[in-house]
Amino acid sequence: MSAAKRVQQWATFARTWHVFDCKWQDPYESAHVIKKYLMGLHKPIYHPMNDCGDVVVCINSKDIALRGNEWRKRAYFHHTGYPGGASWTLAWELHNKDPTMIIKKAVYRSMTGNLQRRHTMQRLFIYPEDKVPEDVMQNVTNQIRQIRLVPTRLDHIPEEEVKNFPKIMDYPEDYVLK
Amino acid sequence: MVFLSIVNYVRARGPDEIWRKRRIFKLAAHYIGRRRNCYSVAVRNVHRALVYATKARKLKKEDMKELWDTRITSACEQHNITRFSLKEGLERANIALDRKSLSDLACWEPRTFECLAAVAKQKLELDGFVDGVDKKHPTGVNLNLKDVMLDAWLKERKN
Amino acid sequence: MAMIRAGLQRIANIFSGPQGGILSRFATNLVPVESKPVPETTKDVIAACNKLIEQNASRNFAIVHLLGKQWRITDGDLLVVEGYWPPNIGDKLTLDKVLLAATKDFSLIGRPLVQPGLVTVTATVISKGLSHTRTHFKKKRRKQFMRINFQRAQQTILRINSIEIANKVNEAPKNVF
Repeated sequence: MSAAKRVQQWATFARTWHVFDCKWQDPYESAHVIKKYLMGLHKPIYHPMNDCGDVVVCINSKDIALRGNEWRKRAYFHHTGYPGGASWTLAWELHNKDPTMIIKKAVYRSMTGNLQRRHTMQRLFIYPEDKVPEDVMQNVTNQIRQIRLVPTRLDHIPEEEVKNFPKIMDYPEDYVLK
Repeated sequence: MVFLSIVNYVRARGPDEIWRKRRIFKLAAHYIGRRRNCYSVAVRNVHRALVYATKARKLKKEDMKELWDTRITSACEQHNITRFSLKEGLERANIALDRKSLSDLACWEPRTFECLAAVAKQKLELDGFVDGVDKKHPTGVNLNLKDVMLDAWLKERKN
Repeated sequence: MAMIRAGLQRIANIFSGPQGGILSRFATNLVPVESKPVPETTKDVIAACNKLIEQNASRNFAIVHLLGKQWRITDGDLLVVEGYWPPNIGDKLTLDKVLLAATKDFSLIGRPLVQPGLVTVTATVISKGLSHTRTHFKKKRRKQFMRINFQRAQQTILRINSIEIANKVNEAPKNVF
């Protein structure tokens, strides 16, 4: 094997680092996407015994979006192992305690429970903000496409642009704007 | 000379017993501990192993199918086409490659697979086929039959 | 499964019917109603392929259909064919059902087979024998049910001697049979 070919071979099995922006994303849907990259399911050379998974860096995990009233209704179960040690934490409580926990659990649960799962999870980095340590960020070479488009909030659009936006009607004089 | 076997023959409770047990012990030879030395334990484990082996012959085929499918899916994703539309396109173009050879190509001959994906896409486009599954955002990959054909490659080489 | 396939076929027919199909118009307006002409294979490509074939620059591989299975083969490969198959040791065969043949630079895709005579795959039968014993063992617990059967499949081992792209691409087919 020539030297150039050997490098190509290494590159085939090298780990790629991907970044995923969790802003406004459903953690349970995005878990399936992240899982695919973590396990290497996106490569045609995939084999369950072949350690070809990549590294995924999740940013903005603080800004995930849950559906409907899931923030209030979804409960996370934990048991200390002692009698009476069961506890249920609601999603919003858990998110207040640790903003990375929901996405972490979602990814963990999306994978089948085998011996490889915990090692695969170690390749997942989650950061609540978009501030990522330099030594992590310097490896990242790819961005995973978000599942949903993030809409721009009205109060984040410059005021001038909002004013100049074409209107189809004006509010009547006596209309009370809340 | 020491005759070890004679003692065993004397202890045997029937003409068949030694040979019946021997058959099981031969299969249990690579086990560890009582599972290889004790007949009543060995026979249970050997039977279980044989049942597993029988069932696994079928399971292996299913597992391989699943693996091929994941490989094809991932390769399709790289070329911005779904597995469903790839199959549909190839079928319409009368290309009769099965999932085994498709996954082989995806793994070992990615260039050929790229051509196949382009052919499938072109065929579907010609037929005006609506892929209800393919509602993904564009990945920026635009697969044209022209691009994967040789003249593009030749131009690349000349420069 | 056959039902599903038939259903799909029917749906597909609706879509691909005359004038782009009825459904396609309100399914999405992105779908081209009239079919576009196929971009023609330029002569340059064929000429380049022929040049490459003459140079015989790289090793070829092919996918052949043999006894209901598809095999991706290249020169010097060993194939283990299972089941009853008449050829004897030393027989030289040409595998004619070539679904795809390719080199490093181009691939010839058959629909479903490449033109007869274009690709010649020759093989030799090097051994015939039986597979290892497969034990078919069934047991039901607490039901006094136990069956054991042994089976060995016939195996034929083939050596692929050569895969050659014999003719030039786009030439009239020679009668090889």
